[in-house]
Amino acid sequence: MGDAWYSKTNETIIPGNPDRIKAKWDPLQYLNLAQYLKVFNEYPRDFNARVHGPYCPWRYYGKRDLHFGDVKVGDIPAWIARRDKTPMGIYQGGIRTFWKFYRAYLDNKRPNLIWYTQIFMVASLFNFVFFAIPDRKHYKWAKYH
Amino acid sequence: MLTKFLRPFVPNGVATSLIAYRPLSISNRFFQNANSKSTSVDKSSKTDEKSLVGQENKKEKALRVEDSLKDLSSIKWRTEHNGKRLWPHDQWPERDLVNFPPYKLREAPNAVRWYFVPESWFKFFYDKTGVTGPYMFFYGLIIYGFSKEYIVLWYDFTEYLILAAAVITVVKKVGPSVGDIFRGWHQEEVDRYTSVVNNSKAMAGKMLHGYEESLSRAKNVGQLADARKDIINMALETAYRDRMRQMYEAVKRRLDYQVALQNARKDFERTNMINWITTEVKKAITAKQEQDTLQACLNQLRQIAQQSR
Repeated sequence: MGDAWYSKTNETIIPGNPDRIKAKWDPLQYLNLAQYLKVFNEYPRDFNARVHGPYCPWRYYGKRDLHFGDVKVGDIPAWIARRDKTPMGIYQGGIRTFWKFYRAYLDNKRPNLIWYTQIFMVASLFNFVFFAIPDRKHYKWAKYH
Repeated sequence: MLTKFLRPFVPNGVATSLIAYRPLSISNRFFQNANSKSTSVDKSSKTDEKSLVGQENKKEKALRVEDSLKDLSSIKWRTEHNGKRLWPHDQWPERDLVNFPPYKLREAPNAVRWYFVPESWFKFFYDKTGVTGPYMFFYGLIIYGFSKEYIVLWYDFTEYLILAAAVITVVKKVGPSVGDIFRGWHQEEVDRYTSVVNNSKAMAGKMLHGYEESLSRAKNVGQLADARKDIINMALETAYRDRMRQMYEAVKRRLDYQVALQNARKDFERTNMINWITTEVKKAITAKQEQDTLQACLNQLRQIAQQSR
């Protein structure tokens, strides 16, 4: 049967077998949710530790492409076509964005609260555009602008 | 035991025939003949492929840390790459340090204007709109909001205005001090870790300084002994010269005595002779001779007087 949390095989209970002790202090480690999240917990395909060194989650390890600021307006559709638009690609892009933000504002020797301010401003903008403006439509001074 | 027969982890796209492996220790060489499936020695490509066929399914098993700790001979190092010899300390010749530099902790966060707009946006728009581009954009956005009544000027607008002014004033005045206090607390904790190594370095330096001083003192002991030898030699020379002087003075005293003695003798002889001669002569002068000489002298005087008149 093997070992589960409610029953164990005799082999594993033999005293002196350190591998039977699977308990861990951290409940997250004990539950071992990483086995279900293996798909999200792997390196990107283009990452090679021998060439790239230790893994930096904010870096893109694929083929080098133009920055969005350097691409011409006419080439934008072609540029977008070259991007990886699969769900995994989008997920990895989001992860990279987060780590870039982290590295820009939190991964240094003199951090400040700019990261909080930026998140606050974006949230305020979202709230203003989608919730505050509709609430204030009744209080407009003029109907047509 | 099972790890001795595992193939090492090979990255995708690398032909195993091109890689040469060598174990760290020789402990597994004793089991070579016992099991034909072991690949612990540099073998020709023929045997590599043979063993590949036999252990295809085993290649998929990942090496676990526990296995390698139990048996360090399972660690395989590459010995050559592209015809170049590789050493244990230099196993990564493909490492691209130019495009993928090593991780470095940054000193400060990215620069930001108005507390939420990154400087990179200003640099991006500088070529197209100049310095005032983003400023004009945000002011224009606000004016657009007022003009289209997305920002409704109702009675609570004053509160928001004063709130913004108050928040900005407080953050400008109090922000840096609060940041410094927090950073001070953090720096104390960091110092507790880094001071260990720095203090060990300082103590090592002090000990080295002491060793250097004792070495120089040991060198100076020779000079000290030489100085003492010089002092003693000088004292010996002084004594020698003093005794030479004493000898000289003793000899001189004796010689001076002899000279003085001879001089005294001569002096006595001379005075004695002179006195004797004068007394004898005086004795030999009779009274008649005295009268005759007196008359002769008188006559001479008369003659002289007659002549001089």
